[in-house]
Amino acid sequence: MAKQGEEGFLGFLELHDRRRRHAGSDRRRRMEDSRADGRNPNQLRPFSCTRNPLDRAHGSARWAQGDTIVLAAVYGPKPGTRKGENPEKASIEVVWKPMTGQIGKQEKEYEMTLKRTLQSICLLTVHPNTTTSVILQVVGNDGSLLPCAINACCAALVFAGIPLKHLAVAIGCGVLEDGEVILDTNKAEEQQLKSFAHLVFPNSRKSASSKQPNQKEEDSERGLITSITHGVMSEEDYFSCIERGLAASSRISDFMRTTLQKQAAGDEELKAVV
Amino acid sequence: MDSRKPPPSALVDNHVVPGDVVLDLAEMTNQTIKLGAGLRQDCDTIQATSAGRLRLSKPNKYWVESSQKRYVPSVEDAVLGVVVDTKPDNFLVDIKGPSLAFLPVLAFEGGTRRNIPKFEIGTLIYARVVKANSIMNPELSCMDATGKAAEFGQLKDGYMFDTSTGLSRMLLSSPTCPVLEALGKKLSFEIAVGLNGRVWVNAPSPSNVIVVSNAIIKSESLSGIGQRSMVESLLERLS
Amino acid sequence: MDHHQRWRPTVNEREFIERALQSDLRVDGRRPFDFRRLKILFGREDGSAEVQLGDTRVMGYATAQLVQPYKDRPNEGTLAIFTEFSPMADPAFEPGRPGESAIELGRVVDRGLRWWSPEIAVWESRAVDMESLCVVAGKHVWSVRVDLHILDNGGNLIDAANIAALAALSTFRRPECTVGGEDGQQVTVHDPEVRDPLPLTIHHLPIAVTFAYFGEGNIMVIDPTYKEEAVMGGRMTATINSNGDVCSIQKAGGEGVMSSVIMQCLRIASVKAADITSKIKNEVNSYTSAKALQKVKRLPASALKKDNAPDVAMKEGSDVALETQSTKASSDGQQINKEPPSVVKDNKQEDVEPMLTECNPEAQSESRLTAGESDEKQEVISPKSLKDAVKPKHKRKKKQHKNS
Repeated sequence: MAKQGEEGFLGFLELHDRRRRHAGSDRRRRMEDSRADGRNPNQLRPFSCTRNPLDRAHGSARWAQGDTIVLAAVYGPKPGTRKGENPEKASIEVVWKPMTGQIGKQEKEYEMTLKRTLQSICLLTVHPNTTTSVILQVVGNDGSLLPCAINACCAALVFAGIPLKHLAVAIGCGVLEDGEVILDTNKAEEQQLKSFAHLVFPNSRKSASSKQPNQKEEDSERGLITSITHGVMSEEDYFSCIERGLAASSRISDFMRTTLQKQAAGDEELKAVV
Repeated sequence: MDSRKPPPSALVDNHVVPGDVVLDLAEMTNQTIKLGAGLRQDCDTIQATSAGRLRLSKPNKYWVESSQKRYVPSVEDAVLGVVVDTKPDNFLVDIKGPSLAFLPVLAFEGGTRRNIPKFEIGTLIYARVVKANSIMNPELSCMDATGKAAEFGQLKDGYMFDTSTGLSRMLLSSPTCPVLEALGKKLSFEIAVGLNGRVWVNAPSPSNVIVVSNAIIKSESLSGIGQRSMVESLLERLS
Repeated sequence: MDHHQRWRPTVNEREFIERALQSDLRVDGRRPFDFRRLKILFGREDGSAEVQLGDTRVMGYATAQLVQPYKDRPNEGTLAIFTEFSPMADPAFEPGRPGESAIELGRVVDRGLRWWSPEIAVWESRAVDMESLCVVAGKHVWSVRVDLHILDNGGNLIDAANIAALAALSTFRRPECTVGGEDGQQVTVHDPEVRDPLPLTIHHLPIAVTFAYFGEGNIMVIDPTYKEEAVMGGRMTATINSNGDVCSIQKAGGEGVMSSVIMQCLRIASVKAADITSKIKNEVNSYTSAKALQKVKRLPASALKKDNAPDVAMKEGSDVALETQSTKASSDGQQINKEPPSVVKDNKQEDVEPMLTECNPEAQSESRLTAGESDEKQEVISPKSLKDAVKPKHKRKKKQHKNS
């Protein structure tokens, strides 16, 4: 049925983004110290998303942020809820599959975080007494694994047609020893962080309403959905993470929007530098 | 502004994603709008709940058109169902929805307690959705609105396969979509398309059934021209 | 919950699949002895491969750690295959509960590759050399683990999983070890950045080829889809290498099949095995040469920035005992020394499109000519640390071969 194209889509979107990125790096000249992989602190790795790479799953997405790759599959909604779940609402179950070995405490926490995050974006009253299963397979891990997984799940839920209040957009923010915040951290960077925050925001939205809020207002309306932090950071550092993360989440939102629009025009992998 | 003719949403025929505000009710007065699939009301706004193209059927019906592997039942849709169980009053039928559909054993033309059809598990049925809401199981009928069997009922022989709901809509669109038109010029076959993303094809020779099925499956991501040339090459291999 | 059931065909599908087969037709347009399209993709890390056989998808991931060998096989490393049918692949697969078919699949793949089955004390087909995985006899051997993740069940999981295991093992690299010290028992695990990690010695590629039987066992097809599997009367998997050796034949029940039909199957299987073998070899070769090329490209740039000391991922310094990795593996208290770790710094120039380059260009041993100008240069190019190479996971699992 729905199959992905193997070749990436590298069209106007990327050119546009490249331009923007260069403009951005000029503005931030003072932050000369670029990261080990050449990115500036606010720069994300190239993102790509493949729609419905799996045949049997009701919706699936392969989401890559650089070399971190997560495959997410959705089955459902299927009739009935498990014991202990409220049958008056739709229930969501999450299964995490690591690349090797059994799942441990870390993966259990990922499952729990994902479940709660997805519950908050799904409209649970549309299909009461049903269960939707979300299964994640780690395909590559080069840092920011949980944010990548959340983005993958969100895309897979949309492809499966699960009714959502809005999208969830996740970003990994790392705080370096000197308090500098870097976004979409890779594995090597994560080993040098003082602390980090994995943040999830609602997507930035289009509105048909005549009163167009400006970007600032719009951003401030997007409240934090999930925040998982590790390590000690100052209050200032944390708010710096939120501010940067929120700004980055608008760019990820744009990427997600373009990806989801692609679905009508056939199944292609979408790549972009965001 | 004429209050009975609401201005269409600025996003009509555009792509929307969940959370997009499609209509702002605060800006409208005394207007009735109808919401179809993929939309919900949240306070003063109408928001998208799924990704796809926003459609407006004049004067006032909005919905989000998208393509999925699963189906959300909607009244008057013609669907292909598979019998999974038989109860005294109903057949339980899988229509790829969130819950099983009921097909009352009497919902057949001239149906009485004496002539209840015998359907084994795995029987394929072409039926119409007559009830659909999120709380109760959807209900099917094998009669049209006037109580006639029309084309509804069991489909025997042939081959059934799954498609996306978008592909089903394309197959049912008029004028006839390129893939069916191109196939129909060279081969004779019967086809039943369920809006729930199932297609049944029958023809005297199995090879024709296979060609038609594969042509339809492959047409999903192709343009009209692509569909025609794909059918050409499939037919060449057949001869 | 009906969705947890195995996929069931409609009456129409069941009858049509059988009727079409009477005239040698298959519903996906294939002829009886055609395989579906095979695609092999490799991940960023060595030893990870994804196989697509039609709609069927399996990911294989090979890792290794140092362990103590079994008392009765002191000179041999170990190989364990782990399979779980992920609920991702099929709604009938439930998490954490390997069904019958998962067990069968694991065993068939395992027998093709294994050196020795300790449970029943027999030689298996010995595809992967175990003696070369021995570091210190009776003390340290490499234990190789292959995780097979079934991602999409389009049917014939055995053949796809087998190819995924072979592809993963063919690109897997383990760190080089040297033995020294006063007692001659001290093991140094070399950082993959300093000394090229080593491939496994694979003597032959045992290819699983599955046949499905229909009717009274007189109709057969190769590489069945999940729809055909739901209708078939039985199945046989022949594992054959390109020399034509039969490594395993698996047929658990089902319709009885005449030996003349089995002979025909084996003839066909050996032709298919040769095709698939060359496909795997070609894909592995192009992967390894692409990786070697990446490394060559990156050398000049990386050599320039060698002095970027503040960005080391691992502290430069004296020998650090690999307590996390090794002491759990070898409880006898021997110290395993790690070579002074290298400066780990990903060097990319800012004017280069920064993110489209891979950061993992370890050269393969085959690529020494191009990559091996000096060890020093290699030191600086990859951000991978020793921790990545010597997976410290499952330290306590010494009996993992029994779980496979």
